[in-house]
Amino acid sequence: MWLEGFREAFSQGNILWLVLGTAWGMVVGVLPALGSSFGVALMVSFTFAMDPVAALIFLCAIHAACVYGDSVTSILINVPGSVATVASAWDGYPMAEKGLGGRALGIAAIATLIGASVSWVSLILLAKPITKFAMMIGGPEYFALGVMALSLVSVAAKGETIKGLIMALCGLALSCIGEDPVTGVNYRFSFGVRALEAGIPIVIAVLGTFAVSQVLTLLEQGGSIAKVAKVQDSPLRGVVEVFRRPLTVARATVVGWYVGMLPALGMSLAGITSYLVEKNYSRERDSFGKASPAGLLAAEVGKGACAVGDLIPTFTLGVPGSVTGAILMAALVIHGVQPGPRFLLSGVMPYTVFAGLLLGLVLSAAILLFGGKWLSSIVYLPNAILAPTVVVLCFLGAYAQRNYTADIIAMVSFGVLSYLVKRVNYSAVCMILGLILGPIIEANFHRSLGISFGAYSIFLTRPIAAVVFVITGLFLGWEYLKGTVFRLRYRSAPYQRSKVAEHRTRNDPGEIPLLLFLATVMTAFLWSGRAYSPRVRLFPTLVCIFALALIGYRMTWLILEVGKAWRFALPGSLAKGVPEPVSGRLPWVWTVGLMLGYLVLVYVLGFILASAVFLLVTGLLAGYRRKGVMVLLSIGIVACVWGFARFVHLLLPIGAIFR
Amino acid sequence: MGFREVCSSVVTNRGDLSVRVLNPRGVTVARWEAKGVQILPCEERGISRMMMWSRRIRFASGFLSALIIVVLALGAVSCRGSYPAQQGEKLPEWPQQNITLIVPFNPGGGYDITARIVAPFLEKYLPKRANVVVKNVPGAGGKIGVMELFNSKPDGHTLGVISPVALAPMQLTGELGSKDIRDLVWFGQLDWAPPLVAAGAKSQFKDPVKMKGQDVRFACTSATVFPTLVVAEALGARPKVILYDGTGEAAMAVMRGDADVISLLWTSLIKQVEASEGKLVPLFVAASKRVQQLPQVPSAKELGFNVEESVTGATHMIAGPPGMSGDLVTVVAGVVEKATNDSEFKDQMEKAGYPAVPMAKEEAQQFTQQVLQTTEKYKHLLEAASK
Repeated sequence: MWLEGFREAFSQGNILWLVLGTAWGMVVGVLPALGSSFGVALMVSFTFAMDPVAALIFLCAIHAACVYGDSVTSILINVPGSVATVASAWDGYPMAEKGLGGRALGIAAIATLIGASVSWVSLILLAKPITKFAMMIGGPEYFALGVMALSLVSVAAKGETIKGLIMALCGLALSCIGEDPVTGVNYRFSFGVRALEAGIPIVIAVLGTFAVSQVLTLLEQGGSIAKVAKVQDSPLRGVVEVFRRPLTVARATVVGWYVGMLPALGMSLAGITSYLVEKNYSRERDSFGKASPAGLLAAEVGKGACAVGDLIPTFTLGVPGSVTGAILMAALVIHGVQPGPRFLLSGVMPYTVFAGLLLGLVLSAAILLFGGKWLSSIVYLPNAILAPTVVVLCFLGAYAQRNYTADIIAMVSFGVLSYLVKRVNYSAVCMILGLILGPIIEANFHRSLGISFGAYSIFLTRPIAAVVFVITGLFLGWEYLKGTVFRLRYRSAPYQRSKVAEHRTRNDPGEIPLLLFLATVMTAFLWSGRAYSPRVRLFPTLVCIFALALIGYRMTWLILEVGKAWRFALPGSLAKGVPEPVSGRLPWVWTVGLMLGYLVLVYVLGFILASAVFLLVTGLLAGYRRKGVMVLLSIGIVACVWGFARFVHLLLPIGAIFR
Repeated sequence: MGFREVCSSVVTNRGDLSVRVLNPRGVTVARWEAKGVQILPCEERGISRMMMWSRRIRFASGFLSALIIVVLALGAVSCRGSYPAQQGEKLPEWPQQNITLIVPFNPGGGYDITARIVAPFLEKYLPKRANVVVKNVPGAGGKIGVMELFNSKPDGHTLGVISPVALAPMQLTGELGSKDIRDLVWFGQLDWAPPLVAAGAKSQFKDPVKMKGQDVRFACTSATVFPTLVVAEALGARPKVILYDGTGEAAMAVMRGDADVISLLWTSLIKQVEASEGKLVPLFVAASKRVQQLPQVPSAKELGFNVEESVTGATHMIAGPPGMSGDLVTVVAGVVEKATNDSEFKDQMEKAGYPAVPMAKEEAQQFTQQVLQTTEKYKHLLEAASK
């Protein structure tokens, strides 16, 4: 099986996708603030026409390469490429400042590869025994696994469980839109909009949440990064540094793997945890934070181990281990492969995908080792060009899935919603989690009752389901334990603790309108749900009632506890709410307006012309000075997009005037 | 950028041959000298942020209005161009552009596969060279794509691969609004196949006669709910529908013993039966005759059950939007007939597991009528299915 898997992965088409995925992942990874979830989310929608194996190899390669690329910005410009590499900057940037940038990149490449490879081996070792149970997994078991995944919300929301739950419940409610999974013949909660009867595809929500909202942020920041540390020495020296510290590598691998393995959306924690653990045990602990190779090594190994460890629950249980895991899971569903134990039974495919993942890891390490110096020049790309290009790709991706123009509107709405939600410290990821898990939980709940002729005892009499429920209970309990453990940890890192404290106490007046909006939506769902038969409305009704109860609780708490404090905080917060129009920056309302204008143009002029116009206008408005260059760039980008669409066989919207 | 407001305040210094451009506040923005143009940086110009924005807005609005003019002009030109053609000769000039074949389901399913097989054969017999492009418009059980077909221009450049058997229940439950599938032009059939009914090896219902009056768990996908209920009624069983996302999953549920019986298009179910190593037992073909390729499996009629095969069998047909002109219909129907009777087409369909059963236009139109009438008889099942 393994040989076949590797042979398949090495076949012509697949190796091409592997290289393309790695290249794209590297670019996205190196760009600051764009992480692997963004890179994968943007590409999922382009894989529809592809062979599932090639698609998964492509997406896994993006994930692998992003993880490496992220380190480049952390080390060279002290801006973490994504949350996963926050800790890499603590020692990496000081090293780069000292002129050891090459060595730091070398350490990053090798350390990530080692961490990831160890996790990869554990993935395949664990996958084998799990396949034994695969045939026994039916409705009740999937229901139990879905509930287990949903219980992760408390972790995903980073200590703000109630906010996370509210968002997750909203996601669950939104997942009820469209064909119901109970009878299969009702099209629920369309509110009279025909496109809604087809439901909200996960890809659209993911694109909006991770790509569009990122564009809004990018354009609001404006400019590009100016200060980049020079790379003077050879990255190959970093390799020696790694092999001189086997103990550090071992410790960090275990910590990173453990954090990743827990289905806990823990990418952001892995690097930091490994770093902090190493700081307690390393012989070089005094030099940590002052350009210590050991510190960087620990952070990088932990990150690498976690990046692959994350995929273990995703592929073996169908419980996403990280945001990217959740998106990969959505990709599996799109390609008609049941995620979870069943995935491992689908012939050579899983082996090919795992082989592709390993090849992607090695390829990325090689690129970073030998080309890290040149890669760093990508960070000069100004947001004025980057952001509109991403929008064009998003529009293309949103349309590609089902050839609906309405999907583009849905995507932009998700982008705006998650952007606003993030501003008041709510987690949009939880909403996505709810959206993915909603159908799994609802369908399998009713399936189980169908199997047992309506007896609820089935959830306890099926052994695997019962075990999963017990694990879920323990997991929720363990969360509280973990909370205390981490509180101890933070005591040794005052910076981190103050960060967390700040995160927890910050309240924003924007929360009230958001909650009111969500409450209105939930009430509308509840109201329109009355029309359906009891079985069909059971799940959405429960979800809405829970959501309304939580929103009510949160509102009361906000008004009682922090009402006073706001009276003083209000002017400042309001100023934050309305960003000043500074040259080269676009407030989010403008960006959304531009996107809507783009949508109209797509309808009138067709995709290609509209994209060129949009790129030009947005680039210039966002402060790109050289008009001639901008014209050439927009033509070039549009030509690339057109070629790309031809390559993956996408239909592009034709303008109304050409029809 | 908006030079208009600064142009009004051009000041010439006669003495030293330099031209200055001032903004309304009187601050120098640019200065022309004998050497050339030197534009001062933004901060020195002293343009306020509000000014910057007002210029941008003006620029954007100017750009948009220019664009609108271009669009209107182009629109006018294209309208004028197409007018005489419509009034001209009698024989329709078809096709004038690429033909879109709407498939209201995701890539990879039966609709998509059959559409992609037939597309090159349609191209082969077109009177003029044009591409036939498959466009997947999935969602809401095929409804979104069908509505797109209903609302498309009846010029022969938009056709669809759809099924009256799947659409009749939708029409009768009001899902299609005021649309009537009899208004569509049904050009011909690509394939037709009856369902095969199979039971799990562990199930007590390996003899179909035993199902009478019993609670039987049927594994379904959302597309097979209605045909399954029709089969169950013919068997006299009390069906408990368990819904699955795909046919593979539904078959596996029966193998595991989570459901008792499955009724599915025989070409896809027979593969599951072969792979199941005896865990799936084929019972009968839900039709009046045996299937040629499955000589050992009896038909429903032989066992004494009367199954309406017009609403249980799966079909894929080529249809066009309502309102196509008579001449155009004749031309298109001719192309479809030639394409679906091509022996190479039949070979490819057979290989893909969708045995071709060509049907001429008149027959297809009649068949649709019949499907609608038969489905109406089972309206009570439709109501039960939605609960």
